[in-house]
Amino acid sequence: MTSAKNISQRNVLLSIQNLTISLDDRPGTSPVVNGLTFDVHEGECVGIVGESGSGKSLSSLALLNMLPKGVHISEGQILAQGKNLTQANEKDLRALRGALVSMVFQDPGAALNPSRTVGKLLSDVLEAHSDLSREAIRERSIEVLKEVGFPDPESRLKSFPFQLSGGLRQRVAIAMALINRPRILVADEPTTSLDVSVQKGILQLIRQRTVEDGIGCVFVSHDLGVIAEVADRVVIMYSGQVVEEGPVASVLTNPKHPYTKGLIASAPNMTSTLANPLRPIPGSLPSVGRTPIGCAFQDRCPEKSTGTCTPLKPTWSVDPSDSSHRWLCHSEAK
Amino acid sequence: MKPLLEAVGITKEFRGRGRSLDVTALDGVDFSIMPGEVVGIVGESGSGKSTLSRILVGIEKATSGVVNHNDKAVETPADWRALRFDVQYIFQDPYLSLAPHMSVGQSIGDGLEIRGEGTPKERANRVAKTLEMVGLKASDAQSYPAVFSGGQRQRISLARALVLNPKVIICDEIVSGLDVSVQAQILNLLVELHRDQGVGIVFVSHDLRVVKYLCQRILVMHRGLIVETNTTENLFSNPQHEYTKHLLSCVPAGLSPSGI
Repeated sequence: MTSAKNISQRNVLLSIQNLTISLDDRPGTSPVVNGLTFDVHEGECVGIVGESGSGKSLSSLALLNMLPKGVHISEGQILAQGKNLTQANEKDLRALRGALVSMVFQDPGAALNPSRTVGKLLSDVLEAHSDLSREAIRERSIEVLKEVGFPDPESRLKSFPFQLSGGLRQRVAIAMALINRPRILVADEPTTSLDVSVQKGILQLIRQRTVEDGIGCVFVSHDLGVIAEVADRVVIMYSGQVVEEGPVASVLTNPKHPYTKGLIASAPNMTSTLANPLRPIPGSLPSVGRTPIGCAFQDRCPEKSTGTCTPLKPTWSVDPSDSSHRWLCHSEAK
Repeated sequence: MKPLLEAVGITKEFRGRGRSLDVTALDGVDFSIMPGEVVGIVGESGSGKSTLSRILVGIEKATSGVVNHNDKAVETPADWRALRFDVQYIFQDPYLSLAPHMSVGQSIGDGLEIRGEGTPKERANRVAKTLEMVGLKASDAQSYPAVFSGGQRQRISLARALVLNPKVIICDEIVSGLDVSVQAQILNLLVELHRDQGVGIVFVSHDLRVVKYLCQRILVMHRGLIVETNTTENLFSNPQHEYTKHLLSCVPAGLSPSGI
């Protein structure tokens, strides 16, 4: 991973400012994503980590303005190379999606049209954004398949998705996302449905394309181990709220927010043993629209009674040695 | 000591329908678990780990091979019934494995009723006790599965198995669909059950990190074969088979936290 200082001096490709997503039909309930703010630089991968209901998937869909019915962006803006995606109309969005901003989904079996061959799937995306000859399309398709480590691309252009393994399907999905050379890649749990040995290859691929092509990558996952391998920075979300963010190494080795600490202490890793048991977070996530006012984590927080906790008005604390590591809690700051 | 449950030379073939090919899911597999042991079965999708666990309780019939219970071959329906007094199975998806039209109390008490154990009042007491054992409230017996979260439903599934006082529970990917913070609650509950009541566990999972945490002995499966079996410590410190080495190298290492 490149050093954080180096990255923060590069161009900002994607800037998310105070993104707030609310339920349509229930005004007055808490937003499902509340004030999400972060930047993605050239060649940087930002991980979003959270459990179900944290708003991480909705946030990633909002980046392409693809929110499902029932929720809408109620505040904030998403600037992709200066263009505000929240204000863009359907026509502009069509021109942007797959060209400037691309997305890779969790389940490649569901994301690929089963009736189109690999070659067709790729040329569809390419033709939607450019006016290339058949020969040029074929060349670019083979080139991008090589880039994503797809073996024997020339002969596999005629394969259908069902003839490919899960890992190869996800490589095709990534090739589709990269074929127009996007500046921003959004990946929502792209390895969750894959076996570990396949997962490793996909993570390396995303990492490599991010660094070599200078793409800005947003990588959504529930798995801290995966995020540690792929991301430069990490944003931890809980019940729609960002609770902590910073460089991956500092957040994961020196977590500050009680939720981040709880998440790490409850996730088994290769060093967990019964002598050093997992420490689960007591209680369960608040249901949709029922996030407590102020600190979202207050009802489950083991540190609520200590320090100088102000659950109704949590404030940001900053690591004095690295101002890019911050957390929404000051019970420790004293 | 004799194994409580044993499988010898198990093969399983699935006949392909139409144009799909026949599949050999298990190709001569031996398995055994001692009373009170915690055994992990790991492998990737298609390795045969679920099929093996299902054959152990007779949900799936082996094409060839024998299942032994208390050192005796399980053959007749009565043998299988006797086996299920000792062995209970817990499924992966707690949204599919609980009957939605039965209250939690009915679901958990069902097994007792089928066996004709106790009076209705005694059964209700056992249900209440078991609910408390898995960290739920006795009053939850009146509620229906729909009002519970995934983690709570998996506790109910556990209660459903445990109310029958099994000697072994077989858990097929029971924490895979759960959030990390809830997954840890269920894993620790299994640890307690084993420590306090000596329940044996067969834990089927694709997640090496979880299996390493929970199990004393591990079987690694690949393409219908057990490629390596060893104690957890030895398997992780000194893997022998190439496939095991490969699998271990693919686990996201993460970063070990300090100061918490």
